[in-house]
Amino acid sequence: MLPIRSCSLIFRRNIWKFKRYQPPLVAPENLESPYIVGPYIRDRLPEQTIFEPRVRYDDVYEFVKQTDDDPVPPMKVLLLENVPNLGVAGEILEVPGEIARYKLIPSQQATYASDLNIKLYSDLIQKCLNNPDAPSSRLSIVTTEKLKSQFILVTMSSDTSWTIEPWHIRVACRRIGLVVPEYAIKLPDKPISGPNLDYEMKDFVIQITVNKNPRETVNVRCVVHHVKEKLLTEWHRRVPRTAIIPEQQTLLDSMPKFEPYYDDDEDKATFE
Amino acid sequence: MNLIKLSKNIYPFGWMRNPYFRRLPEHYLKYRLELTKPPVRAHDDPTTGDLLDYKLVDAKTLRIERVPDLPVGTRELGNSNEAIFAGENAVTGFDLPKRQLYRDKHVRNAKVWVPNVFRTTVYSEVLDTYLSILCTKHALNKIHEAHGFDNYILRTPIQDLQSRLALKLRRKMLIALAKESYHPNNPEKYEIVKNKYQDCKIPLEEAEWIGLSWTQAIEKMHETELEKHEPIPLKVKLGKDLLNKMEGWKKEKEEKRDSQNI
Repeated sequence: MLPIRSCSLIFRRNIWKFKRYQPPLVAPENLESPYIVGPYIRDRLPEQTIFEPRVRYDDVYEFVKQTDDDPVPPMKVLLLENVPNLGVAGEILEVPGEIARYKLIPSQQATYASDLNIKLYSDLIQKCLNNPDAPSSRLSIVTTEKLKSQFILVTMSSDTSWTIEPWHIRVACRRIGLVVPEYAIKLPDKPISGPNLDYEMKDFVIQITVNKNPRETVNVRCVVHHVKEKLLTEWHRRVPRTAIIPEQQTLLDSMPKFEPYYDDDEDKATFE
Repeated sequence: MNLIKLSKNIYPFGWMRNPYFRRLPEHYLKYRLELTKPPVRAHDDPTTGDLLDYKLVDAKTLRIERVPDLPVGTRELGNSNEAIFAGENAVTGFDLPKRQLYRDKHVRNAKVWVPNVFRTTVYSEVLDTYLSILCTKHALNKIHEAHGFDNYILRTPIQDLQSRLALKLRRKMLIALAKESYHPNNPEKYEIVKNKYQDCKIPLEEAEWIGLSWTQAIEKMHETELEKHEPIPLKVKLGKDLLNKMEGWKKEKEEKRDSQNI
């Protein structure tokens, strides 16, 4: 056979399956030699033919399949530590196979979620289930952190009268890219109605619950804006921030803010 | 008359007839027999007829014909014993050309299909170490199907491992399990490993022999036999006896003197 070092004939592949081009020959049981002449050949069955010399296709292989381009299947994994953006210790979840193979399992952050492992780590799983402060899902921590630092601009009409309802805020959230259902939104007890230009660019606080979990309620800042008024550049960085409802002022000051922005040109215009 | 032909060959393998090899311990010979079993084929599926490897040709006459089951021709890679390929090898054979013109002239091209090898790190729980090994994607799939590197090394049949490195690691793991020398400082992990690999545990005397080659096994046998009946030369033995006797005489004399003095 050929030496393996000859590079021109090497075809680098991963696991592959082969099929023979032609099934190999097997001598019939009765027929010992094709060259026997006499009554033996006369009495033979019609299917029993004498072999003719043929080209040897015995070592010719046909390519059936290769697994080089196959995707790695997703894997069920039991987390042993708190992994950011993924979950808490004792949680069972399905992750992409490459992350489990090359990241989680070699670093001992997780193991395979087999029946034996679930039995061995039953204490850790129970602790995770009974933990009152555990997040409801793996992305709930990320969403709550994002909601805290959000400035939701609620654009309202400046002609017809209105009072703010949950669907106003649902639409305002959707314009930023947040999908918030109406049952998750809780408005302040005091109703806000307009149009009232005193409320322009003033804030109020609402509460949003994540995954219907009362522990994960977040205070979110909303800003009222009338359509016909001019929206200033960097409006979310302007100071001072005043509340529509004066009881919420202390709460608003404690919430996260952006760096203040001062427009020099506008200040000059006001002085003159 | 050919006497060798008349005498039935009881032993299927040459080494079984060797009386020197048969002095080795029984569990080692049993392990050697298991190695000769046919492994799981990686490169082709076995052909199966209606009756194992026979095919029913005529239903009227009940004539059966044999379905040949030949595995594809393979060849071991040079570094297969220092790596873990899980039965993958280089396939040597022929391929038909693309053109019909050449096909009609019965042309065939010689080819070698070589697996794609890369180096990765795996973690073994029993040895508590990170190992960087040469392996293929097929081997990694097998490891993850078995739920971990330790499970793959310990629980797969010996004939399917197909590498000397895997057998060496198996020996080391089994010795660690027998001595219970894993995770000495971490009691939580100690209990987990103890419960996980309970059924793989075998006695230490058997574990030390797994994965040894013939030469290594014979050397080990010499050592153990020497320990049992170590030959002592007569010169040393008789000399020691004489010294023991002389000490006895000395004591007797001293006792006599003491008794006379009193």
